[in-house]
Amino acid sequence: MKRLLGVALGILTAIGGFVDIGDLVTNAVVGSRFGMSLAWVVVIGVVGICLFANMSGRVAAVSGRATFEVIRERMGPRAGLANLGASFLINLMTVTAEIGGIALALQLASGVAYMLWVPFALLAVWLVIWRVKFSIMENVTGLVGLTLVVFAVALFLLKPDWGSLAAQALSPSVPGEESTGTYWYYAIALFGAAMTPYEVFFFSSGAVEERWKVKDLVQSRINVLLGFPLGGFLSLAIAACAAVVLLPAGISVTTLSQVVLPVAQAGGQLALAVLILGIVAATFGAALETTLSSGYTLAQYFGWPWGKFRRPAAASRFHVAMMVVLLAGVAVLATGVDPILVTEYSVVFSAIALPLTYLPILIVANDPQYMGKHVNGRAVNVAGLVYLVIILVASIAAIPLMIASGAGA
Amino acid sequence: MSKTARRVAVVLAFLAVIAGLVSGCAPQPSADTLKGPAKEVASAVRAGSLAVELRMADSTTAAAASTAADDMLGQVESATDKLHGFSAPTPEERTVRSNMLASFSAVSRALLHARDALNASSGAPLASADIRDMLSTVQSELRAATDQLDNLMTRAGIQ
Repeated sequence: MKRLLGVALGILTAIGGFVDIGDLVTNAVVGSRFGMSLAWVVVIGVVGICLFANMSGRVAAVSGRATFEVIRERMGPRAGLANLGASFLINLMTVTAEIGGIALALQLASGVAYMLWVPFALLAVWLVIWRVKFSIMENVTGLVGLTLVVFAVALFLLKPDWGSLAAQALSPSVPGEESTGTYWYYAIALFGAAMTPYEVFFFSSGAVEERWKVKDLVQSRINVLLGFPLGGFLSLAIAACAAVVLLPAGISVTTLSQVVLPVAQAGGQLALAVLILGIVAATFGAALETTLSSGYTLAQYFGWPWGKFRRPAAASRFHVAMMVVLLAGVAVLATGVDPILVTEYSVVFSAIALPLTYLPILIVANDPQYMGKHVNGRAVNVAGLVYLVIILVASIAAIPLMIASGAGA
Repeated sequence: MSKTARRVAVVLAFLAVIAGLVSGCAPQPSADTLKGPAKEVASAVRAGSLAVELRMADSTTAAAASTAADDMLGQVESATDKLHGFSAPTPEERTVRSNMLASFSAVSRALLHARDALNASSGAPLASADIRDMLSTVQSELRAATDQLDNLMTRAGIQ
């Protein structure tokens, strides 16, 4: 019974923890401009993150070490440093976007300017990282983040033409108003939003934090294979709400205050309150994860003691690194840069840097020296290679498409 | 030429090509460039109008609706700045641009009134006649600004 509860909790937190500010914004932008014609990218992204998280979770459980330690050892310090540089910059952008997301959600709740909420968000994130146990932190934010299911409820309440939505999703085409370059640019952004590297660093380091063993692999697999696809449904519901309400009204999403309009229209103030709670939980949870991921990558590369299972004094450089990252994120927000713009760029840069983290994991997951008999099976390797090609194409095409489409303008 | 100097030359040449590409993508002074800012403003005014409509139906809170109006105001300001940055070499383009700026200004004013009305609706009961009248007035103003912009965009061949 206890094990069953553990599995259920793991799935629920995986669903609730799947959506972050990148998913919220990118799916709403895409839904409001392209309808459901990019739904196929969410499906590809969800399968990809399942594959990626499964491999890195298995590497962590079998070797007892987290992703970055293994990458540095297996690929050498130079390749590890390139990986660290790219991952750290993306983590920093994502931390900035998530803290901005918390502040924007609190502005929606209170009407008080988001800049005034930024210091409170910073303090709250730091306090939780400093004081709260890893499992409590992960489960509470994941479970409260489940309230984002209000997007799916709102979609039903909006009584959409399901046939039309399905037709848009099943026979995708570029809307007349948009260019092909912009369509593909947003395809890469959606892919990057689903496959952000921080999720994998957090997942694999979390496996070490929670002392996973080989026997825990079944549970982790169930969490990933059920939780992430259900989280993907939430992403599709966000896009569908925007496609049903905002696209016909000629509203292109550029702010979080527009993302919530369809839910308010469908479910009124109660639904709106639940949604704002969900956004705060999702962005807060993601801010914790990205901040921790920044600390994990640095500490694992440089060989510093790390982990929330250690007292802060015993992992001082790990904690200082996280504080610096948080302060840097807030400093970026203090310049007045639009957090939504940071979010849009962070998901695209995630896609650009993805090969740097994906390829080493694929190599290590096939190395019997680390994995023993738990190396990738043939089916996983075929899927792994197919995804390697997709990731490389997305990574190479992202910058030219960004220039050609004026960053999706 | 030493190896290092050659490398520096290659990097500089690469950067020059990138700069050329980026500047090549910079907006050229033509009626087409009005399309982006005009669409941004058209989207903003519609979002503001939807926020007011939802507030009138008591489906959203004053805080969320006024945040939306404020955000849309920012979007219109940014589009106006972009439009000011474009040069219009021909008299026709200058006329279209100045008409567009006048239309953006009307949208901006309507959104400002909407934000103030939405803020005012936070303390008072929504059923009160004063609040309802105020919201109806700003809704009419937003619709008039939308129609004005739509007509202009149609005339300019933007939509």
